[in-house]
Amino acid sequence: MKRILFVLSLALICSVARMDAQLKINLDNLASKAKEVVDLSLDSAMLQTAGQFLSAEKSNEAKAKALISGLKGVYVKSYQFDKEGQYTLDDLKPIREQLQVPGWSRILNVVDNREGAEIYLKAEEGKTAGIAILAWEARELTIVQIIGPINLDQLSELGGRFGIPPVVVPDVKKKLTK
Amino acid sequence: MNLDDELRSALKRQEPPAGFTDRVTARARVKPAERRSTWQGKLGRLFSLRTLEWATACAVATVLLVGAGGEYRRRQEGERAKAQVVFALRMAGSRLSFAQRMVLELSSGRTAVPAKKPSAGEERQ
Repeated sequence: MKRILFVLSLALICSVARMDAQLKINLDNLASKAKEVVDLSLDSAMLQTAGQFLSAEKSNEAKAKALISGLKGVYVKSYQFDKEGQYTLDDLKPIREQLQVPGWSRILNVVDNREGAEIYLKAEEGKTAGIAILAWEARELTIVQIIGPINLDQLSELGGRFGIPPVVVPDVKKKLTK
Repeated sequence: MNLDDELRSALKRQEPPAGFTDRVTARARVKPAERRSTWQGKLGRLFSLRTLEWATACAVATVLLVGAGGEYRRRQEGERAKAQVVFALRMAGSRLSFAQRMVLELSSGRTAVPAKKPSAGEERQ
């Protein structure tokens, strides 16, 4: 009986820990105002399935296949609006609060008028265990979260492929090992 | 009567009834052609299979159909997952590029060149 209780509590702890890893993005109020909504939730099973269908021969797909191989989840929410002022930066507050816990660190915060972006990295034992990107423009709001061992270099390697613009990434390793 | 006589009597040549040869020849000439040409003949042969053979054939066909359906569904799900992953990576990459562009703009004071963003429609491609 004790063993069963132990296993059950372990499973509960694991599930809670997994839930904690994924950001809770509750922006349903924006969905009704948006012209276009992208809501992608790709868990590890889905990523594994996709990995089987990405070719190791084609250069583009091989990079993506390698990138997603160890990932636990990729989550994207994006809202596009017809006109400006459909959201406020306060809408991002609950998400920012979730990223202000130990382990997460903001490596970029850039704001210019009605545009801005924040990039957060999650570190575990000196290695990146997750990335969160919050980006907004006058008529668009996007939140991307990638859970698992990934770094910006890997993501930037996809620059120029799949229509992703080339990306030059600043050295953030020093920041993580601090 | 000994055994030899009994055998001789049993195997004694007997003449067939009158018209037997003609009937056999006529039947041999007509029957195969009829069997080949009519659909009733084909259907008849098909239904002449025994129950066990029918059950086996049905079971094999069912297994093949279920297998093919499962494989088709698995392939569809895989292709869909692949398209979604590529789209998600494009979104992540484009937002990363957007952030980088902003940093470069603010540091150099240059005019922005908008980064190409994937639209939801592209996901379905």
